[in-house]
Amino acid sequence: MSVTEAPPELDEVVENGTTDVVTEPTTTPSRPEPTTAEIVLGATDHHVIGRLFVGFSLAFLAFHLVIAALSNVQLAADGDFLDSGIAGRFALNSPLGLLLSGVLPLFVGLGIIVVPRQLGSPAISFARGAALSFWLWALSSIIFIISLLADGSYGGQNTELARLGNVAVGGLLVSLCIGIVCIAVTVLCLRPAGMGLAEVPFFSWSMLVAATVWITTLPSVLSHVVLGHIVKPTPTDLAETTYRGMGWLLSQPSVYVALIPVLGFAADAVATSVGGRQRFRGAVHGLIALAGLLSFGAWAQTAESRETFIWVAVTAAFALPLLGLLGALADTVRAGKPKLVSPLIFAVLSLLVALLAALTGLLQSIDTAGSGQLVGFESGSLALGQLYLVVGVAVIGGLGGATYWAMQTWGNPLPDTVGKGIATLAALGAVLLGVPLVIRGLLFANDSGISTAPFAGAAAAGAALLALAVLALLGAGMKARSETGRGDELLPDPWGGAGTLEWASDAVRARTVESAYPVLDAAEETPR
Amino acid sequence: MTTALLPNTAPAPILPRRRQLLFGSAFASVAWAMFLLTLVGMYLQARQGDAAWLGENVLRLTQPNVQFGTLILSLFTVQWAVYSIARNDRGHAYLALAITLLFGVAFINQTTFLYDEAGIKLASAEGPLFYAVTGGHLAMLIVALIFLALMSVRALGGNFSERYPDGLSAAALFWYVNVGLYAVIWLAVYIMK
Repeated sequence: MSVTEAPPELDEVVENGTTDVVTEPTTTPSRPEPTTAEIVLGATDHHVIGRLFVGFSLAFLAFHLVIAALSNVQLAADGDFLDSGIAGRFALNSPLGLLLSGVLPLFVGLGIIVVPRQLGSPAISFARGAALSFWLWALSSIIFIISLLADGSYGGQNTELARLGNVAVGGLLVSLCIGIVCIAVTVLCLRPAGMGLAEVPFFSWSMLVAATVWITTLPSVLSHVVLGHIVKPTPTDLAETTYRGMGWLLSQPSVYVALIPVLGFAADAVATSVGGRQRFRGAVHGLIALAGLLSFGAWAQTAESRETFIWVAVTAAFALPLLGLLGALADTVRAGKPKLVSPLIFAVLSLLVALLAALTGLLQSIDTAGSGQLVGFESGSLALGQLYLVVGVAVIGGLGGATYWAMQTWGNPLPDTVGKGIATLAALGAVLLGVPLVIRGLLFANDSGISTAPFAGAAAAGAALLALAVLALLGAGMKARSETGRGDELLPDPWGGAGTLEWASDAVRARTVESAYPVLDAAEETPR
Repeated sequence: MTTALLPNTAPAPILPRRRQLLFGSAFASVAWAMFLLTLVGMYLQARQGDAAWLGENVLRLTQPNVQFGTLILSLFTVQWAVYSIARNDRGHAYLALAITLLFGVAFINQTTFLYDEAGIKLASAEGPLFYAVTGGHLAMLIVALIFLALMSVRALGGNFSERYPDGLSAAALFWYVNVGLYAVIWLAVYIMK
């Protein structure tokens, strides 16, 4: 018998006269299967935590998009649609909700599911920290929504509920920081032998870049929340001092922090759609890092700092990494034979809308450089339009990620036609949500007296379309999930060209990683 | 039949050092640093625009200087602990950790004395920002103390050694950043009054 065979039973060994047995075989008492509630509440499996994050963030995202739609309908109806207090509250809180309860946690969820798999790791770093992140975030999101609906949060009149909303925002910020640190440490510490940082798949790389930027941005926002809270604030203090203090998060360059992970998703999805390797990998890594660097905006918190040459240069430069990335991805598509699958459509549309957002930022830079006299745009509309465009990009990219990695996220692939439909709907919604406000900002350059109603109406329709796209993907995902009891076992590649480790079989995982595309390496070495 | 068994004298496999705790601490340190530095920035901005800043309260330098000195000494002792554990000198590591924890507790004691002596009201112009900045740092120091104490207990349990000193290194990193941030606060709040 060799050591590789199954160990002999004790009786068999005695019969054969061998005496080499060192221990008696022990029987392990069978443990009861955990219930669904136990699996969910006590989860440290990154798939379960990530799925909870993705599911809840999609639901909250749809809610805050509806809130954004309602506040725009109010503008379109010249203030006759909602009570003015409710409308003011919705207008103040929906951007924060979209970012902190919607798109950022959506990427945290995708990162928690996908990043360990892209690195061939069976677990995420600090799994209990990831679970803490989810539960704190979910609780804070629910409290934020309750306080918003019940005359609290920023702009509300009830003092206790307004403070509660402020605390909830603090909880959201802390929880997102915890979650993103778990992902970043996974990328830094749990890579397999042979995979240096240069070989890390693009989405994992973009999450590492995003983590670096978020961890330097979100605590800075938290300081405003904490300072606002310790003075026992009135609702007016919170709306005028605290909210205004953290307003820099919603304008450039900080607003771009939401779209860094989209760049990584797009690069991975494009390479898969051509069934090959991304060309100029180093350049793509560098461009994502550059986008991250340019989106760091904690230094631009005061109005004075946003009227400086550095601000103009940084915000104008953000289009460069996007253009470079589009060029690199287009070259990969040109060199391969792309399949028109839904992830490719999501990727291309998200990058095009991102370019629109960056161009809007460029217009603001030009306006600032001319001290408002050179061209004289209406900066408020431009900034809001840009924020909505960035949210739109993040929604398209997030939905794209949940479609591309549907096997890992939902346990089953989503129908490609459904994915294509959702991609088109989301892109249309994103453009309708942001572009009319940008146009309004340009047309109002000379106080031309044009009515705001058509622009706000179009933005409301855009928000509604985006909400519809989010709900459609959530519905499709839940349906796919209900049809499988799959856990974390290895899943086949539905796209037929994926090369990174999240699609690897056991045989591929056993190999030494020698490039960024171990699955493609294995396929090319194995005769078919 | 012959049964081939692995010799029980085989050395344990050397697992790769993942350094997760160290990187996690680095991220946590950066996050806390950004939180505090933003508050310091707001403090400086508010002070610049207020001629009556600290008009009714006096911040004597003696206490902050002693606090800073205490933290500077703790830098040496915490590094002593890391150095000792990395050389399997457990006795010195325990001694250094105990002294560092003592310095930390002394700092908390000194801070409460400073608050008492300064008597700054939360309702005053400088009150909210003063307590946000110094309280934020105090909270970080308490977290660093708990982290260090936890790692000390793990060291006592034999968790750390020459082969795996990461837990103590991580706690020490968090401590260094804490002291660095106090240097900024000392300069911005107490020296540049």
